Amino acid sequence: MSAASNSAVDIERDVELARRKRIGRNVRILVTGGAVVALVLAILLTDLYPRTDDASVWANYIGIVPQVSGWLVRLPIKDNAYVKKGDLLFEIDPRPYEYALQQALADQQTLEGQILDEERRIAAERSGVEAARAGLHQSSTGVETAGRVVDVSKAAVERAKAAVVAAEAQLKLATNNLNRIEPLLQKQYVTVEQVDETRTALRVAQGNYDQAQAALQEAQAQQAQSLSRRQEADAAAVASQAKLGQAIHTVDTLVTLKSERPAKAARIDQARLDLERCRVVAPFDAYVTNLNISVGAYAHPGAPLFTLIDTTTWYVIANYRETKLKEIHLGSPVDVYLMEHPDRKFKGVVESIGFGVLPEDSSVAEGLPSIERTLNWVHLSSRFPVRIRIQDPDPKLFRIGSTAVTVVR
Amino acid sequence: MIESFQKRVTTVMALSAALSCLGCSRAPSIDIIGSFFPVWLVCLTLGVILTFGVRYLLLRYRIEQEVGPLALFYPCSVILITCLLWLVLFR
Repeated sequence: MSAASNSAVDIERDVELARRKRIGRNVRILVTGGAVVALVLAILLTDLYPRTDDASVWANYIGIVPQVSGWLVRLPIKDNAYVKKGDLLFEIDPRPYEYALQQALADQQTLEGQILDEERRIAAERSGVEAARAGLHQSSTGVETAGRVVDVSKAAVERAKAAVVAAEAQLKLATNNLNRIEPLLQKQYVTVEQVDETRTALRVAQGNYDQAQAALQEAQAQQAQSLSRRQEADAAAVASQAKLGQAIHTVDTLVTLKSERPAKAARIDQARLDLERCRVVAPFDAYVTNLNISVGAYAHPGAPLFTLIDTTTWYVIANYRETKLKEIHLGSPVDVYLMEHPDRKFKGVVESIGFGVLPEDSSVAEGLPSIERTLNWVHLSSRFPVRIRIQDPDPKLFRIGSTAVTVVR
Repeated sequence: MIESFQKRVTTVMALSAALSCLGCSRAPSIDIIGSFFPVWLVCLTLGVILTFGVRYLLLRYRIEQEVGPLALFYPCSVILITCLLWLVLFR
C-alpha cells in the first residue's frame, strides 16, 4: 500500500519535474532569444533614428546700437520683457536734432532767397546790357553826327578862305586906287574928298579883310573843335562797346548758387534721418535681455545698449557624431525635448548641417605643423552641429542656451 | 503553482504591450539633482533590480536549476528587461 502510494508520489514528482524542466527551457529560450532580439532592435532603432542630448536652444539675436548720440529720455522697456515689432525701445533727446533740422531748413530758405536776389540782380544786369547796347548805338550815332559837323565846318573854312581871298582882292584894289589918286592931289587933278573917299574905301576893305581873316580863323577853330568832338564820340563808342562786353560777362553767377541746392536738400534729409533715429523701435517680436541701464544713460553711436532675442524663429543646435550624419537629411522631421519641460515634445525640421569644425590636430608651431607622437588605437568621432528649426515653438518656454534632446526621425 | 507563474508571465507581457501602445513620449534624459542621465542607464538600473525579482520568482517556483547556466541567464534577463523598458518607454 505504502509502496504503491510511494510510487504514485514518485510519478507525480517526475511529472512535476518534467513540467518544471519544460517551463525552465521555455523561460531560457524566451529570455535569451528575447534579449538578443530586443538588443538588435534597440541598436537598429538608435542607428535609424539618431539622437543626441548634446543640444542647446538657439535663436538669432542682435545688439541694439544707437545711431545718434545723446541722453536717453525715454526707456519704456524692462529687462526680459517681451516687445512686439514696432514697439518703442528707447528715445534719445531729440532737441539737438530738431534744431539741426530747423537750421538746415533755414539754410535752404536762405539759399532760395539768395537765388531770388541773384535772379533780380541778373535781370538788372541784363537790362544793363540792353542799356549798354543802346548806349553803343547812341554813341555810334554821335560819331556819325560829329562826322557831319566836321564836314560842315570844313565847308565853312573853305567859305571863309574864299571870303578872305575876296577881301584881299578888294583891299588890293583899294590900295591901288589910293596909290593912284594920292599923287594926283598935289597937281589938284582930284579933290581932297575923292582922296578921302578912296582912303575910306581902303580902310573899309582893310576892315573887311581883317574880318574875313578872323572869320576864317573862327571857322578853322570850329573845324578843329568838331574834329576833337568826333574823336571824343569815337572814344565814347569804344567805351560803350567795352561796357556792353563787361555787362554780358557779369551774367553768370547763378550756376554756382543753384549747384548748392542738392547739398542743402541732402543736409535736410540727413537732419530728418538723425531726428528719426532718436526713436528706436523693435525690428521684430523679441525678448529684451542684458538691459542694465536707466533713463539718462548716454548713448554712443556704435556702442550696444542691450540685446534683442528674435523670437520669430527658434533653433536647436544639436551636435551629432559624424557617423550619424548619413541618416540625417535636410528637411527630416525631428522630435525635440527641452530638459526644462521633459514631458513636452516639439516638432522640428533639419534646416542645415554644419560644414566645418576646428580640427583637433591643426596647430602650427613656428611655421611647421605640430604633430603629436602618439599611438592611438581608438579615435573619437568628430561631431558636427546640426541646425534644427522648431516648427511649433512656445516662446514662453524657449531660452537661448537651455539644454535639449533631439531625435531625428 | 506553475499555472500561476504562467499567468503572471502573461500578465506582464500584456502590460508591456499595453504600455507600448500608450505612445508615452518623454525626453530620453532624466534629471537627477541637476544632472541629466541618459534613460538607458535608468533602464539598466531597473533591469538589474527587476532581475532580482525574476530570481525571486524562479526560486519560489523552484525552476532556477532548469533555466540553464545562470551566468548566461541573468545577464540575458538584465539585457531583455533593459531593452524592453527602453523600447516601450523611450523608443
